[in-house]
Amino acid sequence: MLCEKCGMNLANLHLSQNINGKKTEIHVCHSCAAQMGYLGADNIFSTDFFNLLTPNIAGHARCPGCGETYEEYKATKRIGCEKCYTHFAGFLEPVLKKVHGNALHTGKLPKKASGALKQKRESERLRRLLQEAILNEEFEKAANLRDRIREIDGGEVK
Amino acid sequence: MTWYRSFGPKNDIIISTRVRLARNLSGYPFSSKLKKEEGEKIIDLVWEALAPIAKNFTLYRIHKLAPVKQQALIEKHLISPDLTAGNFPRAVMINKEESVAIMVNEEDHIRIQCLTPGFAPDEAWETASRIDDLLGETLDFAFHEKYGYLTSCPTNTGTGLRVSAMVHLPAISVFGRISGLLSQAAKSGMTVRGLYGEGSDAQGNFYQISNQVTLGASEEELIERFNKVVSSVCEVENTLRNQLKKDVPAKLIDRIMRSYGAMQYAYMVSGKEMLNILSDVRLGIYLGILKPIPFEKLTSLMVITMPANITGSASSMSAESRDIKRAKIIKETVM
Repeated sequence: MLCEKCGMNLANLHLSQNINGKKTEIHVCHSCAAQMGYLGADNIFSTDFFNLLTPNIAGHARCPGCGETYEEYKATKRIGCEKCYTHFAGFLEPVLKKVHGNALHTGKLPKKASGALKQKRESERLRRLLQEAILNEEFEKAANLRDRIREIDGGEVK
Repeated sequence: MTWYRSFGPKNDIIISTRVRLARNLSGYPFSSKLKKEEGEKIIDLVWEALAPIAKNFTLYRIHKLAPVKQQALIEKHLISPDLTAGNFPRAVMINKEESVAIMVNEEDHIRIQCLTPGFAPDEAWETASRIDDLLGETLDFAFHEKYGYLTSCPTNTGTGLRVSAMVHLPAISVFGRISGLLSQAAKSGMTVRGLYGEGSDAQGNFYQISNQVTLGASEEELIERFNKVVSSVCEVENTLRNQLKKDVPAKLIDRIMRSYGAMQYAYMVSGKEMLNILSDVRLGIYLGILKPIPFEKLTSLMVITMPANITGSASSMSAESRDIKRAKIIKETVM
């Protein structure tokens, strides 16, 4: 269900008020609830705590790229555009893990982007080796790895 | 090398191998959200990107093709039925050898398909990857550092790679071991379906085996896993065929001979009957009951006797006339 206030996001909060016996109810999204003053810093439903409770809800329910909603995806099982993957990552990543047992691409890189990405992948691989070398107290190896990472990335290695 | 007219490795069991790569263009919505003008633009972009090798290809705009021509391409396994749905601008680019077919605006913007006769997943993958590289020189693909190539359906995300083989398993079927084998293949991350895809029956003991997982392993690893599963299926089929060869049941010999007879003398043959005839005759040749007929001739019948390929340029044809013509083509091909 979409937020009854902005009509854009998924309504993930149900607010009800009872003033002198007059009951009002509204379903709103997280950001509208915050704007209405229901999610202040003192509230136990502060932003971080809320996200911790509902890690799967991405917040904005409409993809900014193509306007697809999560409900639409659920009904058609078709993703609307490339931006959906980032926007709905909270929903999609568990789906990818369930289908493929993994959500990390280790295959081919596009011809155009491959230069920068290849470099990044190699640097990540060397960093993993560096961590291992440090843990194993292989300091000479670690120093070599650090030099190679510096060559690739330029600058300091944290 | 047209997949249905040439001989390929392990052709006695494996009819053909296909590799398909799914790609989408960055900056355009995926097919379900695509506007007509964007669809037209994508066809033009892909055709331009193919320019260096385009003289070997023909571009077919699907919505401008007569339904019988569309159906003929489906029967050759060059396009999917989905590509012909609705009135949206969709296209396919097919090379002269009919071994490469690039579908545009199907479920994904681009689907590169490579088909080979027999069992040749590595060869099919290398061809597909080369075309992917060529297109990738001018086109920006939708790609995510973590998730890989982004596709319309999450079952294709990552490599976008689907490798499949069309296999003929009559001995496994005679011994009643099909369901066990199929569930074993499923456990290894493969899908097994009937000849015409999802939900279809395995007519004539023909099956399609394909990988399910597309993310988390490299293309080479996925093909290697597929290779192992298909090879072990072939091994089981071979062992059982050899076991059968030692003592062929009289009823099976009778069935094979009847099918062989129908191939030469039947006046009418339906499409379903033809698949059963082909299955029996292929097994008969392997068991040494029948004299050899080149496997590629038998495979070609699986395409050239399909309804739209039979009808050809004729405007329409009744089912009865088709069955008569089918019987004639079978006779001419194998005699």
